[in-house]
Amino acid sequence: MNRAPLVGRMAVMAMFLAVAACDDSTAPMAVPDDAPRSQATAPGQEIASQAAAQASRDVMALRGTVFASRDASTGQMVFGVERPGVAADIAPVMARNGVPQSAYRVEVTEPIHFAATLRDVHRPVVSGVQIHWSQYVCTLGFSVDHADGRSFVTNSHCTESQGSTGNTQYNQPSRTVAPDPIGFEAHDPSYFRGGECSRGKVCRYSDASRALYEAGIESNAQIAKTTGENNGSLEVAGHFTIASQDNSSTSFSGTVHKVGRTTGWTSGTVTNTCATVNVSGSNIQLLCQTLVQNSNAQIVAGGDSGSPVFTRGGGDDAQLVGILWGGSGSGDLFVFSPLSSIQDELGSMDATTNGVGGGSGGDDGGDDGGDDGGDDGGTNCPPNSNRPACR
Amino acid sequence: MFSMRGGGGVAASPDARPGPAAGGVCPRGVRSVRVSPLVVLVVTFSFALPTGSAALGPDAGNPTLAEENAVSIPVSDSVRVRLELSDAEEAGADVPITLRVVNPLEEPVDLYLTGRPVAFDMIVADEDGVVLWRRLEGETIAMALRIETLAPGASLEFTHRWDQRTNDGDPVPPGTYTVRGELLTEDGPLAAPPATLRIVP
Repeated sequence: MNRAPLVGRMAVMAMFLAVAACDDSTAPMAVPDDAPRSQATAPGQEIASQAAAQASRDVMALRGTVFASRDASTGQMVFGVERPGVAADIAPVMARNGVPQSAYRVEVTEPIHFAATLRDVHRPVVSGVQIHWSQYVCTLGFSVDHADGRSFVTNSHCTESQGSTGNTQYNQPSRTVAPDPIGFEAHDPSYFRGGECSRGKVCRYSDASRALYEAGIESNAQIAKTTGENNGSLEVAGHFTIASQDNSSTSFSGTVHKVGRTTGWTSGTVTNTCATVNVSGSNIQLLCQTLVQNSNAQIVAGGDSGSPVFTRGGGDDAQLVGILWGGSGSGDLFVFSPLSSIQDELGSMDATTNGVGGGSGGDDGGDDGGDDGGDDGGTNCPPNSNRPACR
Repeated sequence: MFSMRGGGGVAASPDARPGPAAGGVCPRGVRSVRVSPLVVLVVTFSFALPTGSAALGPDAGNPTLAEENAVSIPVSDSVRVRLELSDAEEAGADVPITLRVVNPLEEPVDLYLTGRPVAFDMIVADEDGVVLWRRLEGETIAMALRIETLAPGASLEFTHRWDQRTNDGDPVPPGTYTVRGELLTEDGPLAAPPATLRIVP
């Protein structure tokens, strides 16, 4: 096949289209003062609208602009701005491009953000979002001030060696999207035999582990809130705030909620409290756990391990009550460990604060965290640690 | 008891699979955007150029060729799942049942498997379809999600030895039974075609 004529025809076509696209680059004509706004057929107004389209690039470079579009019914350019003051910045730009005021209008609108999901990057780190470790995906439970430093809690089975403190590296949401880890495993208590534990089993009172945030990683007391309860959405539409935490209860009743990276925001009714639960496929037994059921929705699935469990107060206030670790195969039942048991095993912690990794516990707002980040980097270095600060 | 064996590849990233788009929505209120036809031509031509497959992040070390060429395909359209068991067993004997997942493609396939350990279910029903035994009946699964990359031609197998008892602990009588098996994944159960089991006296 002789390609030259084909290439030539394509070039001619491209040139034609380029000329057609650039056809409206002539000098704008003024719009008659009596040109009706609602009609787009008057030649003068059409030319003015074309000039406005070209000027839109200059307008969209202004701070506070949200969108540029064209009103199909009137032919006007429409600019969305975050606040009224921005309109004053637009007028001289349009005038400089020879666009009369009749050819455009400005509207105040909400800023537009990327629609993040629970599986996207979240900084500061919030509760309920995806974390990636080894070959697994879990959910980040909640961030805390702890005597050992700014930390987050997830499940013990979301560590490389369950029941043994190791070097598990956590990325949020994943190693490929965010290669710098947010934290490393710091404490995963061992399981015990005997006592209340059934023969042949190893037991704990919580399926929880703690990881220390890396220096500079900000986290807060928010739980990602998806678009709706039990609707399967993973799109983050707002946040709950952990306004309080239940440090003492092991018995619960009524409705509890969770947010996890697989099934999002779900809820159910407490059906059993302080139950002894065997973990399928293992010899692990968890004591005094809480079961939650919803026969009308799938409220848990693989990947939801580590989800924060909470009750709701007024508005978007949440009271943290525990951490989800398991569920039924059908997904209509989940099991969580109470926060009181988590603290019995991992130590006292405050989930109602904001903070920055690398500092000591008690930071609020993160202002002081950065100063201590380097100093504390070497205080938690298990042998063969993968942490950058320990190499 | 159960066992799991597999010839897998290197662990994949959780980002390379189809799923909710991460980021980016068309701005509200933008009903039409006037775009130069030349721009349309250039953009269309760009998409016609070959682009790389979604790269998968390695668990550790450098990416391998298998990872770079890994394709995100709906699992139900790619892997083959089958049950392996004898067609007849003597009454009272343990029945080994294996659920095998095979990648018949020429590209690696990522499986997002529920549970730690990985959860799989097996169901035995009588001739009337009444379920007598279900492996995961009443079980609580640790809800982590394991990313398992199956290399081309590789397989995973999950085996359980059924003791011929119902979930209530009663021995099942001789007869013909239907056995089903499924692997729990992020997108729902991955089921094998049912198999027939005869229990003979």
